[in-house]
This record gives sequence, C-alpha cells and structure tokens, in this order.
Amino acid sequence: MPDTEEHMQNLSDTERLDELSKKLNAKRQSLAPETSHASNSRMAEGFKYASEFSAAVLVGAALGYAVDKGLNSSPWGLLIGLLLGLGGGVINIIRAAQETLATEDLGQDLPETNEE
Amino acid sequence: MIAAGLDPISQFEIHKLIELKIGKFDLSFTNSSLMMVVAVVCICAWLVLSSKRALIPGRAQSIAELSYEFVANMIRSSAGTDGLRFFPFVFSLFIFILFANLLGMIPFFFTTTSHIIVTFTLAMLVIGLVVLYGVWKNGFGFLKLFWPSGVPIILKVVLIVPIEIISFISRPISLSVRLWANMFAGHVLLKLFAGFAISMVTALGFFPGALGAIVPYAMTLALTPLEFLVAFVQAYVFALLTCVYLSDALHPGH
Repeated sequence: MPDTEEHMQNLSDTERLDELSKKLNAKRQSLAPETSHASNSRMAEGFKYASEFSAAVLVGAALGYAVDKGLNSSPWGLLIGLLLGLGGGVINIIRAAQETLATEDLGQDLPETNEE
Repeated sequence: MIAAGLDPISQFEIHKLIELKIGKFDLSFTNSSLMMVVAVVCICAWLVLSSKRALIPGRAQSIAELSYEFVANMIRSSAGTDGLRFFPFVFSLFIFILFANLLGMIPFFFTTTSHIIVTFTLAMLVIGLVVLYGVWKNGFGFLKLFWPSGVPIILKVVLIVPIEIISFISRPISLSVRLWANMFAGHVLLKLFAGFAISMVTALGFFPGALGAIVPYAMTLALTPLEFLVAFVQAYVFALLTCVYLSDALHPGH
C-alpha cells in the first residue's frame, strides 16, 4: 500500500485529498451498521407475514363494505374489495419478504472495502 | 379465588384507579395509564441519571449510548441519513414500547401493549406523521407512492392504485396487530402453563400433582426467556417499520 508519509508528501494537494477521502470512505464502510436480524425469532417472522396479509384483506373488505353501504351496491363492493384486499395482502407479503432479504444479505460476497 | 387467579384473560382487565369524567369522555386514570406512567418515569430516571457524560461510561451510561447507536444505525440503514431528523420520535417510540413490554414481564404488572387500542394509537401516530410530513415536504408528489411508473395506465387505475391504497391503509393495522398479538398471546400462554402447574397440584394432591406439573412448569420456564426475546424483538420491529414508512415520506416514488 502506497500510504507512507514519504509517498503522501510527493503528491499534490488534490491527490492527497483524494487518497485521504478514499481511506475515510473505506473506514466508514467498515463501520457501517450491520443490521442484525439474527435475533429475530421465527415466530415473530410468522406473525409478521400473517398480520401483513390479514390486515390488507380486512381493510379491503371494510372499504368494499363501506362502498356498499354508501352506494347500495351490495354485494359487489364487498366482493371487489375483498379481491383487491387479497392482492394488497400478497403485495404486503412480498414487500415484507424483500425487506427481510435486503437486510439479511444472503449469498453475497464479502464486502469490498476499497471501492468508490 | 384460585380459579379467578388462574383465568388467563383476567390479567388484561382494566381497573379504574382514579375516576375522572370530562363531558362525555371517560378519562379515568386506570392501571394501564399507571403502567405507562411507570414506564415513562423509568425511562426518564434511566436517561437522566446516566447522562453524567463521563469519558469512561459506567454501565447505565454505556447502555444509554448503545441504545442511541442502535436506533441511529437503524434509522440510517432503513431511512437514510436524512431520516435522522426523526431520531427523537423513533427513539422515544422504541424505548417506550421496549419498557412497556419488559415491565409487563414482571409478575402482577399490567402490560400496556397487550391492548390493541394502545398499539393502534402508536401506529396511527406513526402513519399520521408519515402522511403529514410526506404531504408537507413533497406536496402532491407524495401521491407518487400510489402511482408506480412503468405500468399501463388502465391497469394502474383499475388495479394497482386501489391495491396500493389498501396496502397503505393496512399498514397501521398490521403494525398494531403485530405488537398487540405478540404480547397478548405470549402473556396468555405464560399464564396458561403456569396455571396448569398450579391446578395439577390442587387437583391431584401434592405428590402426584407435582409430578404432573413438571411438564407445564418446564414449558413456563422455556417460555419466559422467549417472551423477553419477543418483548425486545417486537419493539425493534415496530421501530424498524416506523423507519421504513418514514423513508416513504422522505423519498416517495421508491
């Protein structure tokens, strides 16, 4: 590594600044927070998906029911709301799973330290 | 007397400690409010007493510093550095839920977070902040949250937008239900198994009863640390999702 004092002295100011900020960035990355999901119990995981899914279905059904009440269109509002709620539930689950995957970094190489 | 003590639900009953009625509203000070006050007092005492700012931190101070780092890192990693302006909010939320959960683990203490109205209020606080801040900062741009790009417009109007709206409205519900269900179910389970052990002894006499009580007692023993874990994990999950939602308010349109 060319980071001796002598080498640093031979560089111009901007180069030196670059060098230093590169080092600083590498240091920052190594200090970056590692989100720990390890303690997350499997039951909590299950609860998460269950509540994400059921909440969307409930909200969809409730909205559909409210539309029915307002427009006297029973049962179509409830039916459509329920279907949309199911869709929303699936989307919620996908998002929750993506968040988990993003923080768990499965199957990734070791973090590269010296890159811009 | 013993049968009443063994009822797994009775621990969630609300008792009025000080009656107070203003107009039509019942603002009585209940055992639930008492536990909230206890939690807040504990938090204040801990934070005030530990902020001597010693260069070499003592135990309390290093726990306080660790929790600061923990929450700050959580916000940075899920809402970005500009999410740090919400640090006081997220930190108070996290610490309050954590203390409420942990205080509930002490025998005969009431668990505030085992009532859905409490957790729902906390969740509405989060979503209210997300909506207000999102609209204040982005104006109509906040609605981009419901308007993803790269989808045919007919599909978008008929399908995607309603689903996105439902998904958004379901957030406070899933957020509150998750915390409430975990705390509620955990406490019911604990009480149930501990109650089994006691009723074994009362029903079968001391010796055979004690033999029969081994299994439920072992379950209680195994569940207690699990409940402590759940108490922490649920506070963490609540705070983490708060950060994720706040990041939607900070940068909508994903």
